[in-house]
Amino acid sequence: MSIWQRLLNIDRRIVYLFLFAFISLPLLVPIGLPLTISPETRAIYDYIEKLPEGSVVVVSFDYSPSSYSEQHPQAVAVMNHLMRKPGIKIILVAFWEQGPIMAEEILRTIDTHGKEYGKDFVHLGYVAGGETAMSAFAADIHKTFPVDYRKNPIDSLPMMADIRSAKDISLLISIAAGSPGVPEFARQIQGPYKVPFAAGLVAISVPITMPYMQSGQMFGLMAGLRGAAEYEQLLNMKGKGSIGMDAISFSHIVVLAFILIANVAYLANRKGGAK
Amino acid sequence: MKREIPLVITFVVGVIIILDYFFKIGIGTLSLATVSMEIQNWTLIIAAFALGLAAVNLLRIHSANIRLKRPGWYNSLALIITMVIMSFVGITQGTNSPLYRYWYTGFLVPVDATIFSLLAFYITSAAYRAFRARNVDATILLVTAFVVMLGRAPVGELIWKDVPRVTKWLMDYPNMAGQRGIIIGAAVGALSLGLRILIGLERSYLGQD
Repeated sequence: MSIWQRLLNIDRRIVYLFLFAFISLPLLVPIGLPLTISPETRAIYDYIEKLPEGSVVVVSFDYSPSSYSEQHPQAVAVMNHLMRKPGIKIILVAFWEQGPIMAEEILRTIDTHGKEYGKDFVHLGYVAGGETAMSAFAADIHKTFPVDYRKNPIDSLPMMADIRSAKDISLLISIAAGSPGVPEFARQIQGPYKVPFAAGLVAISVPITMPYMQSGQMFGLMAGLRGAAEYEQLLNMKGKGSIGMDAISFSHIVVLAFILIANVAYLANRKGGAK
Repeated sequence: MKREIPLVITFVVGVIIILDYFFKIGIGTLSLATVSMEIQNWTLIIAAFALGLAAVNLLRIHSANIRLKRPGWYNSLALIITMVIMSFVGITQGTNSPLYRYWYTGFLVPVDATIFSLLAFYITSAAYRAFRARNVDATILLVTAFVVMLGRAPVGELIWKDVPRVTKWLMDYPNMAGQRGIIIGAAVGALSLGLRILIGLERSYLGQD
């Protein structure tokens, strides 16, 4: 077997070993490669920065543990930003059943900067029904969520007295891993109520979501862990997004190196065969 | 009647929801929006019941796997044990209780994240084997994937500062055109399926062809 044929048939365990090593090393010894902030991520940051006092922001936790490592840092970064902004009201909601646990984890660990539960932010929890639930939420928040996640009647929460439907929402941000997610929000809330809409996505679903950006239905998006890292950089905070970026770079290098090796070997092998 | 009643319900409910989306119709205190909202609330209740039904169905299927000692029956046993424990703790102490959180963040999150992360290994191995410049089409795919991957990682900018710009162009033009076509095609398909369901031509949702 020639060297080219060997390079064409590298054992998958060797591929796995290289990838494992190149992901682990930068996690253990971070390098801190410079990161350019994409216009899509910056758009969310700038929009929140410009929100006037009294604005109501809905953050929807539509992901599960499988995308936790990629999306939880996005949610943490956005929630940090919202908590820092004085006078902003935050509604946490979920259309994925595991979303409320993610939201509570953030509320437990985040600095609320003096914001009080019920007055400045509320956690409504999960409602089943996917797209229909989104539509019902947009039409009548109080009817869809008679009690919040912590079992308080929604009418007892001072903040919710004047917030009745999507017409009262200034900004909607969904941390969405799949369906229901961006298309459903665009159909049921952004379109009919003209609510400005942005999302945090797993990197793999960014290409399919781009048409919603270009059409103007979304004004910003965070793409995978990189989106989270960019947002953390804008906030000057060191979070899990920034920590993971070197590992992302190195893992991409490994994949590209193996693709390159395979193609050089493939072409050399074909040339040799032609002779 | 067993067939006609569900078809009539589907038609009436469908027409109300569609009309409410496009028009604001109302007489006195009664408006189409109120009726539509009520129907949507019923849907939420049915969806909540469906979750319970799914749990019962899961138990039924996996109990049968264990009883009949089907291949991999021990996986079914693990599923039932963890499902019963999580449900018991969740129902008795709430999903915000320390014990539930302990199980959730200590077991479910790492296991789920690990399984998802394993994809990276499979994708690397698959990319190594599949991305080969066999013909013009494959070469275009290969080059595009190469550039987009570089553009998505910070290291790409160090190698060539314009990589993010090229990646953005690839995402905004060729990708966008293809994705938009897929989205419009799926929307037209959904529209035609919706119409067929509404007028009773499509009945598979009733459990018959």
